[in-house]
Amino acid sequence: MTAPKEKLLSVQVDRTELHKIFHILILSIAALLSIWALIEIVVQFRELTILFVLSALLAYLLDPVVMFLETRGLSRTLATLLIFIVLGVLIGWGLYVLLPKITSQVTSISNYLQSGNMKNLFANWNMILQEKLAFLGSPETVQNVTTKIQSALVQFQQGLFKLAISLFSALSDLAIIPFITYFLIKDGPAMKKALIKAVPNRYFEMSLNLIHKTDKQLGNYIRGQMIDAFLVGVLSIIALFILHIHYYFFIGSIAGLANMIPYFGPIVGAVPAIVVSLTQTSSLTPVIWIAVAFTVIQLIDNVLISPLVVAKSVEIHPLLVVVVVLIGGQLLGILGMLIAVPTTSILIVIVKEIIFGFKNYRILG
Amino acid sequence: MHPMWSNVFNQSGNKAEDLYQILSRIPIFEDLSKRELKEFIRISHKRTYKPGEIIFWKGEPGVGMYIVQRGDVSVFIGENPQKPEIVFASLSQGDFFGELALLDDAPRSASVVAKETTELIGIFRPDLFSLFERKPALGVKVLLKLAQLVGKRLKFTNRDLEQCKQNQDK
Repeated sequence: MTAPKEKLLSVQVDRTELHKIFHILILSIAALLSIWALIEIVVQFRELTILFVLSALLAYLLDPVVMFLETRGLSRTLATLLIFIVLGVLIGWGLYVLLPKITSQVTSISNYLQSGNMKNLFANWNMILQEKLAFLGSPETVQNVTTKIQSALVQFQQGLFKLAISLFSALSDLAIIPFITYFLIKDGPAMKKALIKAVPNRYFEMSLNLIHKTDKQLGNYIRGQMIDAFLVGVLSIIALFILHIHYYFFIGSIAGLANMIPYFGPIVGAVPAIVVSLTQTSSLTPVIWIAVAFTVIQLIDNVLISPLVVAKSVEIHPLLVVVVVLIGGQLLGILGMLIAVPTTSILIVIVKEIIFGFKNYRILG
Repeated sequence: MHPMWSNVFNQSGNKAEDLYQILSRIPIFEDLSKRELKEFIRISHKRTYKPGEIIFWKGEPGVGMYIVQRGDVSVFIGENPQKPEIVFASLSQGDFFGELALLDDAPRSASVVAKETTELIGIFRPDLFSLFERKPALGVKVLLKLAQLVGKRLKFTNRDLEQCKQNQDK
């Protein structure tokens, strides 16, 4: 009598296992479809995504200030409003003071590049290289080297101007970004609550944990990166000012912003300074000084600033960092490169939490 | 006011009032003012469970506490809620459970199932700690009450343990 009972039990166990596998399969397909849909939405509504990402970045940056004001007894709405009034005044003042400076520096670079100076400079370089690299033999080889340098610089100048134009077009969106940011800060907790309300009971506690952890991780990362970028920007401006490099403010600011892109950032930040220095003096000595200055800044950043201000995020393999930064660049340009690492670390947290959830909660019955 | 609108406003008012009354009866929140209770209502999550639906299983990580707003739940040990090995308690409107999860994420010590259609108010540790960061004075009040509650339970457990030991000695 025991044998059929055991058989029945084994069939039941098999069915439960099969049910679990089927459940995991369905959930995996749903997760993959969601990721695909998200990428499609990001690509299709690129402009809108950029606006939302920038607003969310700002909201994360300002949230601790709102929280601080709340501890002082202000309501969330009043705290948010107060911050926006103060920020509005500061941004207005900043634009009034800094915008003419940046505009004049960009115009000055543009005029310089359009003038005959660049052509003369390349002719000079050609002559110097012909002399110094005479041991290479044929003058065609030397000519080849200078042509390659020239085309690389032209490409770089175009890239620099594209960046400047995109920065200025971003400024025109300023009117929309504060509007979205205001509501993200003021109604953020209510939005989170509404999102959790839509989650089925079985996934409720797990989702709460997931949202809380990703929110914390993202917040710490963004705030840390922003402070880091600001400090590296300030150091770069000071270094370039000391080295008497033209447009030090504009180039230093770019270096600070670019520093948020892992591995590629510091190079992107140093190249404009080197180019401007070469066009300024046509001597290699300042280039060496710029390289030394940027290396020292990177050292200060890696040893002092980053460990202090950038919160410990999820460990990501350097190769994966390079791959995701390149994918981010393909999808959303510079902004994509900036958000690639935080997005990846968030995805890692989500996957880890889901695995933890499956192990610790009886989600599959 | 049009009767329809007054009805709508009354309903929402009643619900909020209802929630205030329920929360103010919970020992952890009993000393709080209406304004302070409002903060907890803001971070609370309302969930509706069908009869027989599991709220959480024993061993799952604890995230927060639940307060029964309507309906009945059963706290039990066992794999089958229909045939539990031990039933610890049957809780109804105004009762609460899982409050120790407000302190840490230790695994749940028992499973809980809804006996009928049940409305629960959930208050969760991450939201609570975030509220305490913003309102530290409120945090002190609530954590003190929670500590007193845990202390009281420890005393009861010690007494039961002593009684068990005495019975064993006899």
